[in-house]
Amino acid sequence: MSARRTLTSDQRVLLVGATVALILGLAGFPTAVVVGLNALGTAMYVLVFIYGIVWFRRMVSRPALVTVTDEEARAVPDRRLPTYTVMVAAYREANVIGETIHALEALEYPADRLELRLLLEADDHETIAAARATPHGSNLEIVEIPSGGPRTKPKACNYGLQLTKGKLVTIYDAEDRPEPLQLRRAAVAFRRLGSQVSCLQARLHYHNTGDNLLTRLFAAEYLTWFDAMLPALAAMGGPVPLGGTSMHIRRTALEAVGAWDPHNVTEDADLGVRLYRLGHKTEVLDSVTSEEANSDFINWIKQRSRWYKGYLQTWLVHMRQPVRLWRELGPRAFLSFNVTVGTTPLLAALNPVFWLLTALWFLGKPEFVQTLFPAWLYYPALACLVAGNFLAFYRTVVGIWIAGRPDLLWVVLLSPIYWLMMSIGAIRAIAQLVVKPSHWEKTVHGLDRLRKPELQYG
Amino acid sequence: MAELRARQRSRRGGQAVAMPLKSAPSVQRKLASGRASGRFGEADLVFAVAFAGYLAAAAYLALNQHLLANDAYSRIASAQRMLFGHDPHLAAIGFVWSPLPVLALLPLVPFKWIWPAMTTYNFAGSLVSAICMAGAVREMALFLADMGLDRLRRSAIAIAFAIHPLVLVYAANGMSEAMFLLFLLMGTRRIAGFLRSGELHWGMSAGLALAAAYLTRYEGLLAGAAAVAVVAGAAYRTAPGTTRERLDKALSTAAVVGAPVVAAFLVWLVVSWVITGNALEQFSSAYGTSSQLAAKTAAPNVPGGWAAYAMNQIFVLEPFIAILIAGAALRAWRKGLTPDIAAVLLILGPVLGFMFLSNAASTIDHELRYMIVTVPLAVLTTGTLLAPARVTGRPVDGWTGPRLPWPGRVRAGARILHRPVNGAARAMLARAAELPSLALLRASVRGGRRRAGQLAPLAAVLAIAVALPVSISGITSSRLNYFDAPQIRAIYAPQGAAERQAVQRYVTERKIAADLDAKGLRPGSVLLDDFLGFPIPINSSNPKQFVITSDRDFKAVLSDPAASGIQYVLVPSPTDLGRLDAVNRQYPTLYAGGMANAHLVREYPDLGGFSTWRLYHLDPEAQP
Repeated sequence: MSARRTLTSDQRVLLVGATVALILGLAGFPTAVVVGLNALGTAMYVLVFIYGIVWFRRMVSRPALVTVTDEEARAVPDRRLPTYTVMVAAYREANVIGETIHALEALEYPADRLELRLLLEADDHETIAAARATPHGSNLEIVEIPSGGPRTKPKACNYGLQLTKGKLVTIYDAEDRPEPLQLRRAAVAFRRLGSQVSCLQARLHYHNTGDNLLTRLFAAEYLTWFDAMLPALAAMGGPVPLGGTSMHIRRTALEAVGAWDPHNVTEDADLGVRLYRLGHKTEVLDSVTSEEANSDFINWIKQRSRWYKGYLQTWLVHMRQPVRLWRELGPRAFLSFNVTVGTTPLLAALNPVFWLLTALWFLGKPEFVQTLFPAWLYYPALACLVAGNFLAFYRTVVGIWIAGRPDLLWVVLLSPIYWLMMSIGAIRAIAQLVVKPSHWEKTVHGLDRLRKPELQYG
Repeated sequence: MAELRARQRSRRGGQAVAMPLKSAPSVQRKLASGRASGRFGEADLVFAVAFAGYLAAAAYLALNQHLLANDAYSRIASAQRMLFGHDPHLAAIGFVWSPLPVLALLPLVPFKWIWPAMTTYNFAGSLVSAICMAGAVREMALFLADMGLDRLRRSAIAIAFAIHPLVLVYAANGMSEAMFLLFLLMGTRRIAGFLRSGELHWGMSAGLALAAAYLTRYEGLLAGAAAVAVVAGAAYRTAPGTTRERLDKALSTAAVVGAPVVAAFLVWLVVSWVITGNALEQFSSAYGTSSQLAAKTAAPNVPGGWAAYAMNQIFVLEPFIAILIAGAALRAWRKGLTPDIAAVLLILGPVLGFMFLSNAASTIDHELRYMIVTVPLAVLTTGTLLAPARVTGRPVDGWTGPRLPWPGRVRAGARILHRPVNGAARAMLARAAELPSLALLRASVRGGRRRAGQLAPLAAVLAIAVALPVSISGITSSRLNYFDAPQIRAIYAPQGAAERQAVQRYVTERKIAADLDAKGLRPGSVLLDDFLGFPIPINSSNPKQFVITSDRDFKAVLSDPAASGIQYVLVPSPTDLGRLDAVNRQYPTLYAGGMANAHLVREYPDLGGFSTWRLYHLDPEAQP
């Protein structure tokens, strides 16, 4: 089950068939088909909105962060702690690798039970040299990843996984600053939660929120996601799309699901789904890893389209056998998977279409808009437009309150700008998938990702 | 898992303490909603009893006495024309009044085809108001329980609310007051819960309830604004950090409560603007409040002015309200502003204050019902006076002293604020209450003021009990309740002229509808501005025959009725509100008979106290 091929032959046939049917339909009964498409889109919005309400309720009423206090984390004697593997995949990071090593060494965990591994590409001599030049403890090793195969972070992680033996595994990005007690908290939490829970995702925050408007908007989104929505999603019992770093996993589970998919550009989201399919639960750990927010508009768009592409990839991979997925996940988690992974990029791409229609309607009430929305469709669509946008907005207002960052309130008022940016990213992602499959293939191989580590999903 | 979940971190005062609270969430839940999951609890019982009583009252008033409240009847007309008019569409809801009371009727209107009384006697409206008022009573009982009152006290106080004559009438007559009180009480109770516990969901649901209150009656906006101010003030006062940080916290908290209210306001504004071209239709439309007030014959001067009159209305509903409020204020001043006193006085207070000022300034009608907030304000204030100083009810949290409660928990991030409260903390509080120093204090208070302390609660309950008989005199007084009093008096003394008129309300319109129905006209044959004429389509079994104000072709039809297929034109006497009638405005001479090619079929003299109507027949080929 890998995104090595975006579509299976069955999916190809289905897609081509649907496209042909659509074209024929448009030629034959244009109005009916367009209204039908509109109805389909609206149905998707309605579904996502209803799910969103349930999710939101959970988010505000029953917090589900797994909390381990400092005392509890330190109370466990060293000899009773499990062995831990921490991997950091980096490429061309010569100037920050020193800091990365310091951050890793700052982790509070007995050295004899901690394997620290820097996964560096064999031909990345600069970074390797810089890493070697930084003084470090004997439990930190530099692993040179041989070239060959897709050159991606997940591939590096898979390689590193084979050379290590810690019972618990986690990965960080080069610029991450995990909170020092994170490993101990995770170890204690794992022991308490029992074998059902195989994965703990730590909260990801940005340390450079104040850089510019973009980082503030980004932070408001991230805080809402990791501090409020993700814990609720975990509690609701659906697959949790993991963040790219700071997810702590039992080695047994990781190996059982076949570790990371080196061809998927959001291998973390995919991993979350695969863990869930095999009955492994994920929870959110109350411990922060701080990261650097993308502060450049173009880079942000590129990063966002990569995420959306990855989500689409993940969705397509798991929907290869929808019936089997339904059976494995059950109806609720199946719905959850489709809403969180499948519709996220699709709706982000659809949004501008509906915004445009709304704007046109306000400006001139053109005839064709009226044709598009017969009464039975108009009212649900209108309700969704109003209530859905309010929900998205209010969720962030509440999210930053929950996260304790009231200073970001005024930024939330600018959310529509951010939604527009997300749409650009989504359209770009889909366009790359449809128009330039070769370019897609190249991206899947992820060179681009490793070259710009600050863009990595996480 | 449960164990781990149960181990929440308490970061109050910056200290991290692990507390096992395995059973706390379930206890909390049970307390928080007044019922264990799946069980029929006290709150449900309160609702059921109140609803049964109100439903019986509604059935008696609507079906037996045929007493119909004007605005409620106009709402059922709106609901009907949205579904079954000549041109059914959502915008037919009308934009002069708030939408929720009409929307709530929509699912009930179709039952008119099975049982006409659903609309002709507005049983649909009565049903909605009975449900809503029963909900308001339930909310009241829960709020009193939140305050920590024992069952005896909260029952006594809740009953004083539930059987208050004004509450009883408005629970049964289909008016929007019941729905407004429901949302207002939901909001107020949740603000108190938010202040007490700091738990996020209280703040959010308060905001949603107050948004609904705004969509029910416009004065809900004021309650929303007051609630936002209260929580912002509390957050500012208790947040740690610099002025800037505290301000941020206050604004963010205000946004959590205020966003739904602001959104409701904006959406209604935009919808109103899109459909009528006027964002503030309710204020400035030809049929809006100001026009209505201007059109009415100047109200008689009252001795002492309208301020004294409005004050009189308040005191007739709750004679001791001033003393109760003063008592609560004094208690707040001496022992600290509790969340309950803050919410009750600072949210309901401004609403009543606004209604009083509007009444005094004559920017609204001087109807007694506008003062209905007086009742829950007095009753809840009594609750705060009887409440134990230290709240042990739900949703219990660390509030212990005179200050508003979110100390120390804001720094830890709001995440703490919305966590279920932990049982150990509660146990600690309970133990703290038994500390020797406090016991000593209590004993000393007991010594000196024992008798006063025991009599005060009784006096407070008596104060709101006295309101019951007194307010009967108020609602039946033509002076203080000039619009509705005759209707109410007609129940027991139907002989007077005003009472007869009240009983005959809409009899004229019913007659018109019956006559038109007998003609078997095709759709779109009768021109009618249903601003005053709304009772006519409701009583018609053929509502499609009317072209009414909200129909999208109304303007075109009005400018050229004969060419648009109109056979009959209904026009009210051009006096009072009849001057606002679109037909009168377009054809000022029609009523008097000064139109060519339109001949008077019949005049329907006014029996119900609204308007005399004239029915004209149009010569098909000529212009009127």
